[in-house]
Order: sequence, then structure tokens, then C-alpha cells
Amino acid sequence: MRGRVVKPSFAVPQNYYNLYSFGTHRIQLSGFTEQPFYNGLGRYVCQLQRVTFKFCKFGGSSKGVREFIETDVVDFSRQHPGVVVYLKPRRHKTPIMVTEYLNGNSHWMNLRNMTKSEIKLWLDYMRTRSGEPIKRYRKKIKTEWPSIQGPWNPFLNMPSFVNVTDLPNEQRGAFISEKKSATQQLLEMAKDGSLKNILKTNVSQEDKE
Amino acid sequence: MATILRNVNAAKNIRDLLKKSIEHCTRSERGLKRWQVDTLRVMYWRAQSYDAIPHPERHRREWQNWNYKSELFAFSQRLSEKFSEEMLRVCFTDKSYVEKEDEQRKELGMPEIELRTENNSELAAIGTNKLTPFIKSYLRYFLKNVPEECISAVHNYLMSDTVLADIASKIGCTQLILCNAINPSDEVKAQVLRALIGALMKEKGEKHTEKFIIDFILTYINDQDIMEVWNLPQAEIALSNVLKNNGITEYEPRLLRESGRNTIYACFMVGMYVDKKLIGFGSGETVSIAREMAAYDALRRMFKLTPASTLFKFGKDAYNIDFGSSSQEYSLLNEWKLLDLDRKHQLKSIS
Repeated sequence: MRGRVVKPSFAVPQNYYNLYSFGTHRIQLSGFTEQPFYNGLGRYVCQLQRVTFKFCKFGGSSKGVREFIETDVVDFSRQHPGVVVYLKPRRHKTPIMVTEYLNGNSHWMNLRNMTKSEIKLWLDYMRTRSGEPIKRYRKKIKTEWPSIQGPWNPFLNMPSFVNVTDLPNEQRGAFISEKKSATQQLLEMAKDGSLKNILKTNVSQEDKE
Repeated sequence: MATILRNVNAAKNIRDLLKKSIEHCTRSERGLKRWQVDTLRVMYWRAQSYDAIPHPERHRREWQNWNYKSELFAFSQRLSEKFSEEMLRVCFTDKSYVEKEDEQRKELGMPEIELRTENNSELAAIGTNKLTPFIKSYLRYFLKNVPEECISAVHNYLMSDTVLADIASKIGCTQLILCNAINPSDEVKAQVLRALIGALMKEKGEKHTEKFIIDFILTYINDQDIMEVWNLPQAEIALSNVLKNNGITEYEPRLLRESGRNTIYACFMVGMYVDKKLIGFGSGETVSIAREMAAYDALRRMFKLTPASTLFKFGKDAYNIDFGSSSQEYSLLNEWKLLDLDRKHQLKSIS
């Protein structure tokens, strides 16, 4: 009996492994953005440099790819002339797409049984990527200035009068709460005169005078 | 099994063996057997891990899906420029490639037929002649309070092979270059980028080239610390010189704060004073380091190289600026003075 021939994992060229998925936690890639961050300050350069479609001219699984080539591939290369598109008809093979990026990475993708619109969406997704492997960002920013304030020291933002005061100091040591208390708010309102219709029960003699 | 054994005997090395056995498995009439898959997989990873023979490196052009003409077309479209194809071919041809081709011809016994290909060295020379003055005048336009050493240091950084090669590879030059190696070196890549600028000078003129330089080369200094690029040595001596040039002979470094003396967590903070006004301060683990850092900070404030005040313009905002007005060289650090108009402002104390 002729069984299903499973292509062994090592049959895929090595450079197609470069873009990893998020993966499970143990093999998760993490890091910072490494793309050319000056890109777009002057002119934007699309990081996708070439796409290769392999497909079969007869097979059912390549139907979507064939339709895509018939209707949309010319429009795609007109809109994005910076991307070179190669078409490789291969008899009795599953259709695939290989996208190569300016940073040297490439991504292999299976297009088996995909429809035309699905392929369009995937191609658009690949075009707008930087070619960097998908990874968890340890920080969402990256900068060449490690610290704008300079290296931290214990005296950062400390007022200079502390130099000549003896500690403990009442003014420095007083507790300052983030929010105003209800009593404080009421007192302020009373001072402004915005507080009306309130019964003054404990009115001192000084106030009466 | 017999065929496998025959193959094993015929195989020259482990890679050959693997290839032959994989071929056997995949082409056999009965298809791939489960036990063979497992064995082959183990053999493959062993070959990868320790007794691996490295794959021979191959250039991208050796693959079937490679059309140099359309790659060149896509290259110029990617940058939204209109290079002519002939010019691009010259730009991407390194000197080493032509020499290699000539040698090959000699070996084949036909030295009379000379290879009539130009290399990019002439165009690169044109490019360098444009780049150097333009980068300097651009920097002078935005950094008005620095000595000439700073300008030339940043210029040297931008024109260094590592920076130019990085830019060249990020716009997609690497695989298009024709040279004697498979992976072109930084020098070769930088040469190609300079040649591209030379080609633009020849084809499109000066104004167009300037736009290209602003967009692709000068954007590299965005978000960079100029003082760090400059790497000014001996800040305190430099500070005393600068103050002397401005008629200030005395400055006073004072210990502002200290903590944890004689421990590994020692921290000292030194401030630089002129006329009892604080002009800069810095901290460090010893007094001498803190003093140096304070001088460095004072200089940074004088040269206006703080992150808030180094503001460059890129892209369309910078296209119409007349950079020719700032082509005059600044004075060197030994003779550098604060601008008269805002001397008071620049030496004001820091609150």
C-alpha cells in the first residue's frame, strides 16, 4: 500500500527556518526591535525584496495560486515594483511561497488549498513585515540614548537645601498623601465660599464676632 | 536492505551516505518506511551536531529564481529613484570582480580578449567628493555651537565603512554586488554606496543627490548621542581651554554631595562653578571621575548637545534648506569661543 509520504523536516532548506513563531514559552524568542529604525524618516524602503511562488499547473491544491497569478499578480507587481516576483511551476507539488527580506531572512510558507483572497492577504502581511523573526519584545522601545538624565545616583532630583539641614527634618519627613482628604477638600471649599446650605453647629465665638 | 548496504559501501562520506539513503527511501516503490524515517532523522541531526561537514557557501545568483536585470530594476524602484540599468551595473561591479574575471581568462588561455567592464571606483570618487562637503555643511547648519572637531568626528563616523555598509545592506545592495567573494566585505559595500551617490550626481544632478543623502545617510545620526560619537578626550582640560578663550581664567570644581566614602558604593557629585554660578555637574565613584563628568556636562551644555537641543531635520522638511550657507569651517577647540550674543545665556547657572 502506498502511504502518505511525509516530507522530513530536514528537507526544508536551512535558511527558511530563520523566522520563528512565538512558540511555547520554553523556546520563545525574546529581544528588542532590530529593524532599521531610521527607515521612513527620509524615505520608506519596503523590506520585502522578492517573492517566489511554486505551484502546479494541474493540481487541485494549487487552484487558488493559479487564480491569483491569473488575476492579481500583475497588479501586485505594478503597485510594488520594488518586489521581484518569481513564478516556478512544479508538476505535482504543493504550492508554496518563499518571501525574502533585505536583512537576509526568508520565510517559507505552505499555500495548500488556499483561495485567491487568502493568498492576497498573506502576501500583504508578508510585504509589510520587516523580516525580523516574530518575538516577544522585552521592552516596547529601543533607543541609542540609554538614559537622558544620565546614570542614576542617590542625589537625583534632591533639592539643594538638604545639604545644609540637619536630619531628621520636619518639612522633609512630613507625610504628603497623593490625594486630598475629605476634610481638606471641605475646608478649601469653605474658604472659597463655594460651600453653601450647610449647618454650622460648632461655631466658635471668634467666628461669631 | 541489500540496496542500502550497497549504497553504504559506495558512499564517500556521511553526507553522501545520507543523500543516497534518503534517495533510496523516497524512491522505493513501497514508500518511506517508519523505521527508516527515525533512523535517518537521528543520523541527520548527528551530522548537524558534531561530525558535520559545512555546506559550501553559494551566492544567491546560483539559484534558478534569479534574474539580475529585474533585480536591478526593483532596486531602483525600491529607493524611488530612476537609475539607468547600465549605470547600476557599473555601480555594483567591484574592482576585485574585474580582476578575477581577467585572471580566469588568462588561465583559460585567452588573455587577448579583455573584459570591457568598468568598475565603480571612479563613481565612488565622485560620490565621496559630494558626500564630504555636504555632510559637513548639513551638520554645521544644525549644530551651531560646536567646534570643528565635533563636525569632522561625526562626519568620519557617517563615512566609516561600517556605517555605510550597514546602510547599503539595508537598502538591498548585498546580493547584487559583483565581487570576488560570496559575502562582500564592509569595504566593498561602502564603496558601492558611494558609487551609487556618484551615479546620481552624474545622472540627476546635485540637488537630487542631496535629497538622497539626506534621506538615506544623514538619517543614521537620528537618536545618536553626538558627544559619544565625538568621544572627546580629557574633558576638564578642554573645558579650561574653552573658558580661557572666553576670558575666564578661573573655574571652581566643588564637591556638591557625597555618599558612602570608602565603600564600594561610593558616590560623589561635583559641580563646576564660574563666578559662583553652576555651569555643569556630574557624578562618579571617585572624585576625579566625578570631576571629569562635571566638565563633560558643562561642555555638553556649552556646545548645546543635550538631547533636547540636538534637533535635526530629515526628509521633506530638509529638502529646501540652503545648506550652502553653512559651508564655512568653524574654529577649532583650542580657539573656540562662545557666540557673543548669547554668552550670558550660555553661561547661566543651572537651577
